[in-house]
Amino acid sequence: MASNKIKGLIKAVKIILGITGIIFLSVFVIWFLYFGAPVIQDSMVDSKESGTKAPEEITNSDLYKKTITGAEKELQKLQTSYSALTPNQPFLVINTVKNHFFLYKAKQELFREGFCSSGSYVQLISNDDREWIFKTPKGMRTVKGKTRAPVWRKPDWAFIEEGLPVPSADHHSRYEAGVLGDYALSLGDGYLIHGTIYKRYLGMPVTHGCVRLADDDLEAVYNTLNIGSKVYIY
Amino acid sequence: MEKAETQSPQESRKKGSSKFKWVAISLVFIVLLFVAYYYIMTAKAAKNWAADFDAKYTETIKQSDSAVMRLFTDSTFRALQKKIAFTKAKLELTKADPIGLSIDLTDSISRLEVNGVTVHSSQIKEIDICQSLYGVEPYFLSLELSKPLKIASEVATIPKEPILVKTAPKDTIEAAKAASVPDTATTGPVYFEMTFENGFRLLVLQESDNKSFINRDLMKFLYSIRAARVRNNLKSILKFKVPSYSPEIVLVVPGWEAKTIYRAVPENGLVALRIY
Repeated sequence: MASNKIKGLIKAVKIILGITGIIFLSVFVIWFLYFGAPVIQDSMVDSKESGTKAPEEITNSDLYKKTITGAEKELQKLQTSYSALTPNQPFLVINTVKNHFFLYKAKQELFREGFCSSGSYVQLISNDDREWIFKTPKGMRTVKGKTRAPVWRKPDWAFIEEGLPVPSADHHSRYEAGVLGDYALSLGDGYLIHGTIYKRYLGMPVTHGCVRLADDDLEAVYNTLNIGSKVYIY
Repeated sequence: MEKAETQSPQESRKKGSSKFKWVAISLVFIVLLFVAYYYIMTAKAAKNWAADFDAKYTETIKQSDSAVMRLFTDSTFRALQKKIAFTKAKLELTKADPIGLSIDLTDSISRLEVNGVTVHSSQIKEIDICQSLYGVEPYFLSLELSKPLKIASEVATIPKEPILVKTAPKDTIEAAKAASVPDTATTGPVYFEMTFENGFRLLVLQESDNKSFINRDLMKFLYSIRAARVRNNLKSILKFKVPSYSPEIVLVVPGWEAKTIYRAVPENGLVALRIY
């Protein structure tokens, strides 16, 4: 009776070991296919990178010196062309992921930085199937115009979003003063850099595509950038 | 004859047990054989890729290139040529619409550039370059990288644009109910992979705060991007063919950087690369 029990136990242990072995083998194969092989598969490729300095008889040769000088000149020329692309005038950089802005004086000299608000990426669909995506356009834009005490002319989406009927194009309800802050800088296509009454949302993506700044920051940007100044948005 | 046919229960159990042992040993042997075969074929794929890459340039090489190629064994000249190639690629990147990415693996810095202006730069914490990129002629690689690489496809743990669809409210009451504070909660780690038109792959991983031995999010992402590759490899290998291969560069960047880079670089955007 006791020996039968032991035999049963041994059998059970063997089965468990067998199953564990199969699981272990399967896990190993999966690990190897997905994680092991991609790491070691190029270990058989021999490196052709030899980081040695050429022997002196070569480095002292005229041909070598001429080639190195030529390469250095070419590099310098390319680097000059490249650095010429950075504006000498003040410019603004806007990070729409972190909702941060950086105001530069000429040649990458950081002058001021802080929070801003950019597009919310909300896609609004009206009952008559019109659509708007509220995102801030990325890339390089220029300041097209500057305004003091701007008045907002509300577009159709501003009414649709609030569940209000859309008034006629020149209806007085479209005009709202004070909500854009003290200044506005136009970036073209209806996009503005302006102030906000929703200061608690600075640093968050909440706008309809414009860039909102805090009052002091807006004033600094307004006073620093001129018409034609570049604004880089990413 | 009769004696051979009649076995005691112990004997038949012993026979069964040894049969099981042989099956198990054979199974392990077959699996190990398959693993070795898989490794040899994928390693061959990497080697073939390096040979094909060199062959592509050898066919088009000019007489003047041969002299430059010989000088490429000199470290000073090679470093200069790599800088020239990278600057050329960065100048080409200015044509990128609207934002380009430059990755300097020598200085461990990635930069987002708009029309030649660096708008964002971030330190790369870890770099892993596959050996096969060192297995090609350095001069040919420098020629390849003197132009920016064009993104052919991307896979990521976050969407490129976090679009949130909202239908217009019927009235002001519904609008007030729908008004919400923006959701700025982080959505887990950001990992993405860019595959370029020339076959190179760039895997960017957000640095992990997770100190545990197994990073499950990363494992899940790697599993998802490698599933199709493993399937294709198996298909080729079972037909006794060498599978296809793409060289890969892995970068680990801090916190927000992976998200910033992924969201900024447009689909089919351009990337300038400098490899040390």
